[in-house]
Amino acid sequence: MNPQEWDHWLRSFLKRHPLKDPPAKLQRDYHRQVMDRILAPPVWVVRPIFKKPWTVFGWAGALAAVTAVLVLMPTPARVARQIDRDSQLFLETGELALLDSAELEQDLKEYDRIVLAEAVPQEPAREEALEIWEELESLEEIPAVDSGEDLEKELRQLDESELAIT
Amino acid sequence: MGVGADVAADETEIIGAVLQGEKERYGELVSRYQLAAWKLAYSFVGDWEEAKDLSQNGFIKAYRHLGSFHGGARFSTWLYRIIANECKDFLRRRGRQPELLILSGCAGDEEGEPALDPPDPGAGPRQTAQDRELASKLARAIGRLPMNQRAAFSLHHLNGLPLEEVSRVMGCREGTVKSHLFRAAQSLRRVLA
Repeated sequence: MNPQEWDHWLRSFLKRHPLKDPPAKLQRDYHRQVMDRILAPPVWVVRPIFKKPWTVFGWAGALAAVTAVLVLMPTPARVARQIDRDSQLFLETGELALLDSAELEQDLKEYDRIVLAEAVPQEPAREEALEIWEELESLEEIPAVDSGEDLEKELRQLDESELAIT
Repeated sequence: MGVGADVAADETEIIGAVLQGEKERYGELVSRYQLAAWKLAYSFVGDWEEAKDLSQNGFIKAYRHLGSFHGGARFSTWLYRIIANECKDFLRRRGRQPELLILSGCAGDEEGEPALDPPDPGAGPRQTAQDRELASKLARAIGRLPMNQRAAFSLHHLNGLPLEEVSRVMGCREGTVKSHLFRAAQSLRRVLA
C-alpha cells in the first residue's frame, strides 16, 4: 500500500470508527459547573473574619490564654525533664534542687541538729565517766615498775583490785 | 455571507455582550462548543474525567481572558488552543503516557456499539471482529505518538479541524502541521502493518 492509499484507508477507517462521545452520566452537569465557576464571586474577595473591632482583642486574648496554657502546662515530658534535672543536681551536690522550699530547709536544719547532738557526748555520760575516773584515782597508787617481774606482780595486784571493785 | 461568517458574527455579538457584563450569555458559547472541547481534551489525555476538568478549565480561562480575544480568528480556534495547551501541561506534569483512547467499535468500548456501517454491507461478523481489533491497535498506537504528532493527528483526524485551523491551534505553520501528520501516519502504518 503506498502512502496515498494508506492515508485514504486511514481516513475512511477513522470515519467508520470516530472518537466516542463522553459518557452520558458525565455530560449532565458540565454546563452548570462551568457557569457556576464563572458566575461565582472573584477569588480575590476576602470575607472579613472580624465583624467588629472588639473581637480583635477577644481573639488576641484567647490566643494568649491558649499559649499560656500550652507553655505552663506540666506535660509528662516536661515533668520527666524536671525530675532528671533534680536527680542530676542531687548527684552533683548531694542536696535536693528544691532549696527554695522553706519547709524542706527547716527539715534539714532539724536533721542536722539531731545528728550533731547524737555525735556529742551527753552530760549524763560525761558524769559517769568522771565517777569512774574518781574511783580509779581512789585506788592505791600504782608503784613505779622497775623490772619485768615486778611489773607482772603489780599487774596481778591491779587485776585483783579491779575485780574487787566490780 | 457564508455559514462560517454568520457563526463568527454571532460569536462576536455574544462576546461583546459578555464583556459588557452579561455573563450568562457566555453559557451560549459553552453549550455550542462543550462536546467538541471535551472530545478534543479526551483525544489528548484519553480519560473522560480528566478531559472534562481540562476542557472546563479551558472555558474558564477563555472567559477570564475574553478581553484579549481580538476576533482575528474564530472563538473555537482560540478556545481549542487554550485547551490544547492545558492538556500538554497536564501531560507534562503527570510525566507519563496518556491513557488509551477509545474509538467507537474497538475493544474497551463500554457500550459495545458496532462501528458505523462498513463500506461493504456484506462484511460479516468476521470482518467486524477484525475491524474491532484494528481499531484497538490504532487507538493504542495513537496514544504512543510523540506530543506534537499526537496533537496534530487528534486535531485533524479525530476532531475534524481543517489544516489551517490546526496550525492556528498549535501555533505553527501549516507546513509544520503537514509534517507532523505525515510522520504520525508513518508511525501508525509501521505499527499496523
